Amino acid sequence: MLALKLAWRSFIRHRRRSAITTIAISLGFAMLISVTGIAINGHDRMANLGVRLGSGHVVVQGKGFQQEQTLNFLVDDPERVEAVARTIPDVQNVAQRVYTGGLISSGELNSATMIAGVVPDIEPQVSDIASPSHRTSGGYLRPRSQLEFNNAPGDIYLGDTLARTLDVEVEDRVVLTASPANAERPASAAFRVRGIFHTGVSELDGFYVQIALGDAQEMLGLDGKVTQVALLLNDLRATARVTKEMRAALDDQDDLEVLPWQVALSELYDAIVLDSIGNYLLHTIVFLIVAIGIFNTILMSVLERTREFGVMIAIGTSRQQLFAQVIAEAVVLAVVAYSVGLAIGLSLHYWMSTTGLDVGALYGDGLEFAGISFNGRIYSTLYPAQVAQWTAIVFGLVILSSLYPAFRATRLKPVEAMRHA
Amino acid sequence: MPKSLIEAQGLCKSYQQGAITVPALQDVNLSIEHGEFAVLAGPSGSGKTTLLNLIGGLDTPTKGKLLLEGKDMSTLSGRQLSDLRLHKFGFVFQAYNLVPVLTAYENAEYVLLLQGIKAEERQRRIGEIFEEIGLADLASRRPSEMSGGQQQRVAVARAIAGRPALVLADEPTANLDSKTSADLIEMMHRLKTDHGVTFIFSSHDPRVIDRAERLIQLEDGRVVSDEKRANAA
Ligand SMILES: Nc1ncnc2c1ncn2[C@@H]1O[C@H](COP(=O)(O)OP(=O)(O)OP(=O)(O)O)[C@@H](O)[C@H]1O
Ligand SMILES: [Mg+2]
Repeated sequence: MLALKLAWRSFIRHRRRSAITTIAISLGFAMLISVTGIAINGHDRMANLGVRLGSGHVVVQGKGFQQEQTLNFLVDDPERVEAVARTIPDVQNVAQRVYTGGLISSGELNSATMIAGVVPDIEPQVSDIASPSHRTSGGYLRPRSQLEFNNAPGDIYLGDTLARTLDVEVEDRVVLTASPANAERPASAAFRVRGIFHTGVSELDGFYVQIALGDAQEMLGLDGKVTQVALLLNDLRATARVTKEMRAALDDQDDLEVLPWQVALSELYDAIVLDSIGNYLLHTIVFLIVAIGIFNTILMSVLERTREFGVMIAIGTSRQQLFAQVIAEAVVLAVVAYSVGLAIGLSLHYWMSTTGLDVGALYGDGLEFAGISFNGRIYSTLYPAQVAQWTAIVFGLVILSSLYPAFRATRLKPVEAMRHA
Repeated sequence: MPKSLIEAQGLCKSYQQGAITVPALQDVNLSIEHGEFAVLAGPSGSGKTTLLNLIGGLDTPTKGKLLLEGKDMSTLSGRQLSDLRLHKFGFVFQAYNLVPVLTAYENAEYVLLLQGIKAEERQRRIGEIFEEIGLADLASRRPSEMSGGQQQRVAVARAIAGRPALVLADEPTANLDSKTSADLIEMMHRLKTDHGVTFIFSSHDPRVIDRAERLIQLEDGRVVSDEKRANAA
């Protein structure tokens, strides 16, 4: 503790040098915290958005569907998969869906489309597309039992861009055409526009339609089968665990694949990873600043005090004690710089996570990233594990970068060191 | 017969300067007894510092032996020498002796901390010494806030606080005016008498040399005279 006390004294006494190093390290670190917080928040939002607009956190599909995207790969017994999923902790909801590509037309106008057959009662609970906040007009799909008469055209729910392409409004009729499973000829069916949505994701707004699951199964001859059972979780970070548990629970069915959103939404995930690389670069730079800052400051301080250390060795300070002394100086410097950086960074983070930064004001229409637009404010999210990891890295680096200066100090020969005026 | 505190036998030290070998000490035979107050005198370059460094275990002889209470110092490891310097020896150097970030009190305390002495005992000892050598009012000053003479007094306090058997002082008065030098030597002599600490110091200041009980004269690395002077100090 003598070493720490001396180190603290040395920190205080060399005010200028300590201050410069502290400022460099703490600002770098504060920047790291706030930028990473914003990035993590953005990534979580993208993932959540992707998950809530599309797949769910974990999907169960017929094995091969992810690759081929055709009706040759189906979940034969979706009820069983759903029952299994509902027993797993953190699974908030389960949605059965049918996906297939097709054509949508209204009079002379038509467009390629992605058809999703969804359960009208469930979908609003698992997907934001179905929620009123994304609806620009009309209502959401009704189950067939609630239609005016039994063989009336089914409800269809589509994006605003697509509605413009087809020049349709709520209550207008459209025709869907798609290839059923195991059939040569395409099948067609008429639908009535029930509602129109807007998500900001161009692919969804321009090409995606939803119809009732029963209508989709009938049109495509699926007989109760689905292409996907999607699981919505309470927490994005439970994804890996739930995926594992689902795989274990469905171990006996090798005709199924259980995929986390990172795989199911691989394009989105790749975009997040790409963005993270930039962030890692920043990490590396900040950690370099820390390492070089500490190394430089401590080495300078050791070289400057050759005589002082010479006297200390002469009067009986052991080499181990001197070594510890130098390391302690680096640690004190780091603790102060790190604490200041953490305080600034966390304050920024707190502000960014509560008030947020209005990017609308900065960028007008908001930012678009990976096909998703960020309107309004951006926020910051940090996980304690991340902060703990930085702390470990910083202190590891500090110790590493003070090893050489510390070693230099112990190599001093007292007689020579004291001749050094 | 009790062993001498220090005994040098045929001690030689030479420095290599490029191709030239500079002899700094040549065949020094000498013994220092417990309780002596000895001065090493001699012109610049005569080997005073070299001899003190060898005795203090800060450097190793090229030839010859140094016995500490009969034990050959060359057999000691670096760690043992460091322990020896901590527990057996006290050092006062010519200048810039103190740790600049510590106060006078803390500088003296440093050795006691290294020795692992309890807080209460540290306080008692340093309090006494500071009182004795007139440092009580300066206890919380840093080296940069003290005069040269005051700093040297702190260095002496640090050197004796650890209760060493031997204090080695290399020109402790070189940077001081003559009045301050005389006071410092006076003080060391008193410590020697009251605490039984052995002192060896080097000097070429005649007024300091006058106070010595034993005067060892060096010239060109050799002892040219060695006399006891009972009436000194
Ligand atoms: N590290 C060294 N390298 C080379 N020569 C040295 C070294 N240290 C001392 N010497 C030489 O050894 C001789 C004795 O030096 P020393 O420092 O012991 O003399 P001194 O009596 O203490 O002199 P001063 O009164 O000037 O302090 C001198 O000739 C000096 O030049
Ligand atoms: Mg000298």
